[in-house]
Amino acid sequence: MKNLKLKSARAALDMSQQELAGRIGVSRQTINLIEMGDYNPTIKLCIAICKVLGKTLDDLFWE
Amino acid sequence: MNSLEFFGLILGIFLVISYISFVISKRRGEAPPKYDERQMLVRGQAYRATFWVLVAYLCISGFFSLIAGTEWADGVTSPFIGVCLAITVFVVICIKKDAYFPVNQQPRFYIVLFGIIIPVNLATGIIRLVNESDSFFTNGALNYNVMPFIICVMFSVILATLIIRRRKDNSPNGRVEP
Repeated sequence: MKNLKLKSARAALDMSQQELAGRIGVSRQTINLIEMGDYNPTIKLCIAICKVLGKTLDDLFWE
Repeated sequence: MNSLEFFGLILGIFLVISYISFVISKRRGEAPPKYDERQMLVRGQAYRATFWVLVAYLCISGFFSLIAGTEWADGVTSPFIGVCLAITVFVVICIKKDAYFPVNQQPRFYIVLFGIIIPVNLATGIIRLVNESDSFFTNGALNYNVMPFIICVMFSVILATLIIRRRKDNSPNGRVEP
């Protein structure tokens, strides 16, 4: 299932996948796959994404 | 092995050692290549697939020799083909799933490098065949003359996968942006 919350949170900050990936230290394709729902990130990566986007785990990853 | 081939072998070994020394000295002090968690996972899966491909190759190769009653390739060529096959499987899986290059490393250098390796090996193979009027077979078994062509095929497959992946990444469907 697509993670539209992550995508919209990133878009709200006017941040590209490449920028987000660079700040977290992962590849752009990893961010793409998370947004597409094709990869389940570890809790460590989830927290890193939340910190960069200024959101909580509930905001981005809880259905 | 004649004196020219021996000289070529020594020169090849010298070039490889020089290149590795150069790379090590250049990378000293730099951070090691960094793969993210998904890439590590994919690389693990690729290693597993490579292992089973190599096992299957050795079984088929041994079985064929057993049935035929003779070796189908000489003692150097047969394992060399297996190694090339395994490397190809690993690299292709990693490239397809974007886990071959570390984070923030661009594949452009490798596309150029592979683009050089392919014609060099093709030329080497053809020159060797033409000059020595040699064939691929010795006593019915594949000999080492086939090696440049095997390398050529291996890098062609890898290069093609790399180019297809790069095109896919750069296409509107591959790049999902806001």
